[in-house]
Amino acid sequence: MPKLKRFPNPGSDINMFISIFKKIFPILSKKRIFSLYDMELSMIKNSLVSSEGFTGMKAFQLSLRDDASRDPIYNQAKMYAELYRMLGWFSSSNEKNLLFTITELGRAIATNNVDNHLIFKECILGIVDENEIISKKDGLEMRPFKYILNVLSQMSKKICKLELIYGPYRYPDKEIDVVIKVLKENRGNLVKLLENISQFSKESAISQVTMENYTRFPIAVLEYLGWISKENSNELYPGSKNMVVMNMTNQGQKDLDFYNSLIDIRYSDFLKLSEEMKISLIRVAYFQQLERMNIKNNTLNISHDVKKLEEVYGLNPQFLFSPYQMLNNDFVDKALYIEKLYSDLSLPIEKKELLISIESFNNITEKYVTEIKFKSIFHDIEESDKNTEIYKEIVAKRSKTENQIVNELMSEYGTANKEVFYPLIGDIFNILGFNCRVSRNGTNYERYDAIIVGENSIPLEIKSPGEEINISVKAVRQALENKIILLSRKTFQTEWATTSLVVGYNLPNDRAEVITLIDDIKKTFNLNIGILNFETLLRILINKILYNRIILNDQIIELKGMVTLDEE
Amino acid sequence: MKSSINHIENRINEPSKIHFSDNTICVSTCLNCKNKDCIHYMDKELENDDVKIPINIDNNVCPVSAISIENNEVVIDNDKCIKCGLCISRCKTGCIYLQDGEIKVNKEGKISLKESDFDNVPKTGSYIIETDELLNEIYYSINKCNINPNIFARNLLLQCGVSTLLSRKGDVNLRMDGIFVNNNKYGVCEIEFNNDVLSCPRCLLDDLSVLCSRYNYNLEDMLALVISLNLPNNRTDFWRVINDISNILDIKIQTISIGALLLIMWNNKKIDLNEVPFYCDFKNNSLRGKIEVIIDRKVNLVEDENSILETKK
Repeated sequence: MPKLKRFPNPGSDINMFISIFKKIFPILSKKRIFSLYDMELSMIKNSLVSSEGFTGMKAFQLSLRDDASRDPIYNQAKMYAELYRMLGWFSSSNEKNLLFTITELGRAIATNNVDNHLIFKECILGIVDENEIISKKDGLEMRPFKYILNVLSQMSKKICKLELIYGPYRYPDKEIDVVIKVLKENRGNLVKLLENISQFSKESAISQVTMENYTRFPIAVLEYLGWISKENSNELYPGSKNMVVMNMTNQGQKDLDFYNSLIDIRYSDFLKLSEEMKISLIRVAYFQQLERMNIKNNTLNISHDVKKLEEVYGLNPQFLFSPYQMLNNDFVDKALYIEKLYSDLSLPIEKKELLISIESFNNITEKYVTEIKFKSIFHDIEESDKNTEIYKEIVAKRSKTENQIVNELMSEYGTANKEVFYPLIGDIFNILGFNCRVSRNGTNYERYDAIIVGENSIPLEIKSPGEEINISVKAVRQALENKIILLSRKTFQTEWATTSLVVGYNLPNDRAEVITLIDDIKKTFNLNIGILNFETLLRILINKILYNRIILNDQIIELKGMVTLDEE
Repeated sequence: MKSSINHIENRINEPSKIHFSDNTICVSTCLNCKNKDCIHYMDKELENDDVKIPINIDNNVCPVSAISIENNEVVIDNDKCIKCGLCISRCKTGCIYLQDGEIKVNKEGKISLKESDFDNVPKTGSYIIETDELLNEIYYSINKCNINPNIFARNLLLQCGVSTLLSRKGDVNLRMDGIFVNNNKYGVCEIEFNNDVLSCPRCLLDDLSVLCSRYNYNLEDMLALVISLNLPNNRTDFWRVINDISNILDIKIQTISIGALLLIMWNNKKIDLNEVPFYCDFKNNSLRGKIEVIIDRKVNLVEDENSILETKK
């Protein structure tokens, strides 16, 4: 099967990756070996991630899932760990069990105040595919970023994403001449290039979308390091629509020239050396790597090693070789005479130790779901209400079950716009015995969409299904504003504790966030926001019209949060 | 003994003058600083140990990336430049200036000073004088180009002395645009360049309730700020809602336009949001007097087509 270079996609905010590493370093470096759960905890303690609007331990509790693959913070930690391993800052202690250690290179980067661009440039160019650290997945040998830059330089310093995929992503870097030939044959003819990529996609069983995803991180890197500038143009493929073209900058060429001048050591080269030479090469290359990152190392004395290497490589050899990105961590530490001390001797955290109760969060949810009870009380319905469409519809369906009627009405009004939905809600509340007035369109001063008028007037924020199918935090914000306006402008009488209602088609998708916001508002401003969805309103209405069961309106007056109906 | 720098005097249409403690003066020139403050903020300028939310650490000074390094020299792409003057404000030595409609870097002359000699040196004077024409041009550029409003607003606040952190983009649960720290008080800000500025007051209430409830901030000590491109016009209910919120919750939401922040920055002034200087509501929604107090002179804008200081009727 044809091969394709695969890059992970940890995102494009490179400063953030580096910043996160520096922040989690103090905790993780205390342990000889740590797990992804250790990393997760460290990220949370440093407020580097949030979950459902919380940071800190609360975020951790909310994120925790039985299935780790669905735990968002765990997945973030895993993504960063893979990136840091690629950069040589983490070393895998046990690849299968996802256990790690921080390398000496990682320590040097975390503890020195160095420009992020210098760090990243050096470590990105240190990535080389044949190594002892990461199991080979794509089977292509290359030093990927130097390779991409060389291809870019030889393609008139311009390249597009599709050419990256069809070119350097498919061949080892020793076949760069083939790559240039293939790309030049296709350049100018987009139809041909797309056909070739489509064919390759079939043969390799990798979709084009996936292939394009593999280009995201490298392009972000090239841009971050100032090696490319992007423009929209059809210069490479005239006659076609504009595409993003990456132009090599002067800085990119300058850096490439420099790194091309270094002696590029691959794993196969390393293996051919004697044991003594291997040690010297590790020491000199690491020293040079730190030097290029402006990191001073006063402990490493390499003059003797340089002399030995000069016998093989000539005078003052300069190497492109990142030992921690190619070789086993312990072997490199030994070569550098590194002895580490760890203050935290505890074992890596396992998941079962982290089943912290989320009871406190459950308590919030329970506080904001009100059970509304029906009462069988004789009542009458005004003649004017009996003339409304909704009343007539329900009466006409009286031979059906409650569920059937609800489903039919939900479907009928499922795409209603505000011109239909707002008056409908007004009618429903009026039939239920409230005095509900729907605001006229364009009346800026009446900010609420409708209002239930009385001693405890209740402003309504209505969201038709045409506006939003699920009630959102946006509606809750508007309900809060409605309440404040009513209290301030005193258009109708109301009390502080009286609710401000959101009436929408469906309950919120993210119930947790909406309920938490209602709780936030309650705690901060001591104001009540209630939520009623269309289905609940319909059930209350059907029970009144057809079954002589009503709810006491008092249950709505100070409603906060959502409603459930008593099933009895 | 070598005399130290007393202050940097910003000048209009020319590079700044450096005033020394022995009363000598010289013209500022570019030192090719190692840290390149004119291009990037340092991490520590964009962080605050007491603010525990994930933040956006985009450290670009220029909102349109018009300033860069080529062959180890600072260069300005005046085709991209919107003439906001952020780079001038950031430049340690005062060698960047606006002249004949272009931002320039003075590289002529040599001064035997180091970058560190300019640490904490105060700047005086103004480096750009406002005119209706200039503000129209800047606003035209802002509307035309693909500017990041949050980064732009943050940087202007930073230059006006307000430590500001932007929340990380895409976090739907932490919805505030930014948190600022000003003289030991915390505040939230909403930044809106489009017509949705009417939603800002309620967004600020959401932000405040989240911070107070989940992060234990004290509501009485919190500030709230709307930063808009243009002040909302009188026909919207915005100014009344501000008044309602003040009446009922005793929260005075301040409003400031981008243009007003530019005026403050161009005159090397700082703002103290604790004093609630930018509270405006429907009874009084002009920023002109407030800005004139800060810059200590009359503002030279007459027509104000962009509603920088006054609202449109």
